[in-house]
Amino acid sequence: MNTEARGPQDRTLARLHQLPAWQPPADFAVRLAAAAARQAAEAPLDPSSTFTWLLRRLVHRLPLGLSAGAVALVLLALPWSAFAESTLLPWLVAACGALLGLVLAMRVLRAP
Amino acid sequence: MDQQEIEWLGRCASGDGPACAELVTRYGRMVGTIILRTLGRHEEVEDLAQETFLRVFRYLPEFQGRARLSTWICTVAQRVALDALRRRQRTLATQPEDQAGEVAAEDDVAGAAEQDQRNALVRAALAELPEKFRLPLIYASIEGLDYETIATMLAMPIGTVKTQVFRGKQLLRERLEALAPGGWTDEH
Repeated sequence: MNTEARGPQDRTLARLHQLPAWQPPADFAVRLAAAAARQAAEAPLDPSSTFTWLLRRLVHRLPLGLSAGAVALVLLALPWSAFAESTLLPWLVAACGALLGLVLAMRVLRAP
Repeated sequence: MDQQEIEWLGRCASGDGPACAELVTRYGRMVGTIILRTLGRHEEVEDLAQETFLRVFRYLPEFQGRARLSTWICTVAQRVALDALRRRQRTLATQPEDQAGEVAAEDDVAGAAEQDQRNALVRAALAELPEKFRLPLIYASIEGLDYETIATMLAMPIGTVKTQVFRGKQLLRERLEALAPGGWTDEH
């Protein structure tokens, strides 16, 4: 608990502390353990359902996907020849961007 | 994490009954309270707590121990609760009737006792706070949640959490005074 404040603010927080906490039903843990066992016993996802799951999650994170697409378009439209004569730079930026996108996508998709 | 805890979590991930039950017993109350305080009502708490734990068991193999287990579970609970809250807000926005008002009215009826009335008042005041202040504030009021855990749950720096809790308390006090002038303090 964070109650280092004193005075009226402390009383306000004390009021919040008095709100009731949730009490699980007596058989809650047992029922959930049974549900967890059923979940663990389910067959592993087949490739098609994995694809559906991936698609659903990507749609769920639509703003993120659209932002990434917009950034990619901006990078594509940049006049790279004005920055450097070497043709390596655009590839380097693209590779770094792709790697970063991959890491971020994995983090998002693996989050519960 | 020590070896014993790693083995315990491994058993949970594989659906071992006693191991899963122990995890639920240990964290069930906190998970339910996070959901209850986020939503502000009891109706869906049990279902959402169940959903939280099933997600926890499913994703346990992904848990790498960077954060404390309790912090990780609280974060999952907060996401589940917030998803439910957003769904409810979308539903309310598309319904002509003001169901939020009905909930408040039910609270009034149920709140015959003075403590219930006070709680209903606090919940009504909390509901009026912007989410950016409300969530840090309600989590700070839950026993066992420290600022570090709240910062991880809300994906923000600890300093920001402290600032928002402070500001949230100010706003809540203002709202309580507006809803019940002079009637919410401990002296009454």
